[in-house]
Amino acid sequence: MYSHPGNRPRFISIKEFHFPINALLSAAHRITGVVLIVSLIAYIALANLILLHPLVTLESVTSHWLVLLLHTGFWAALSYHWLSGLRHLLAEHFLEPKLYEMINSKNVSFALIAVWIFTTITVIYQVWS
Amino acid sequence: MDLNIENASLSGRKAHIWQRISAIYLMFYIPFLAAIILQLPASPTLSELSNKLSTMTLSTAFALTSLIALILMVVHAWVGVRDILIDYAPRVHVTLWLTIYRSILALVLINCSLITLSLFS
Repeated sequence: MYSHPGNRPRFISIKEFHFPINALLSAAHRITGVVLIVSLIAYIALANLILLHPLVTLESVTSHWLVLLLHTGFWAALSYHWLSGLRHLLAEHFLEPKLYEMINSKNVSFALIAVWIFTTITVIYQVWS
Repeated sequence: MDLNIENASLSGRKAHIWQRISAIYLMFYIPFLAAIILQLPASPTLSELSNKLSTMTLSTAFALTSLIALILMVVHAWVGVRDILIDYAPRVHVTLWLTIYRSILALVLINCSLITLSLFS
């Protein structure tokens, strides 16, 4: 039989929350930051492999799908992190209410997403063609 | 509860300033890096790559800015993930996670230096 939890802590699924778009973009900034660190470690591992393993050469791995995937993930994450980081810097610099409001407006959020999608498509084209 | 932190070392101000300095530098460096990468041959050998990097125009500027970028990138990555760990890791394990992460970043720096040395020496 159901009993009301009263004052006891309750589990609330994160799916129940509806975050504003700026909160989602800010969370994505952190997530892409972590993706960048993981990519950096992967690049370093690759460089070590090329330098130390006698059978692995730079020209043999440049067109491998895993390396192309790494390039795509790295530049897609970097372009997003750069764009939203630029927005963070602008928001911290321009503190006048009107400018601050404009930088944090929904239109700027959607413009950021649009520019990022365009950049990512360019990255995919550059890497895979 | 008084939330004003008097102790300067705990205020996070220094970390925030370093985060901003590194962000501003990397904001200019990343487009420069992208422009340099676009000039590189599509499928080079290792010696071709190091030759191209050391003979191209702006090679000295690229080497110098890349060295500063590497150091500031580590600073940026340290402050960013430090904040994430402080925000989300269980409090009893934060110190351990920070130590592990600091060690990973130190290894990244050492490894990057060794890679650079073996490429250009």
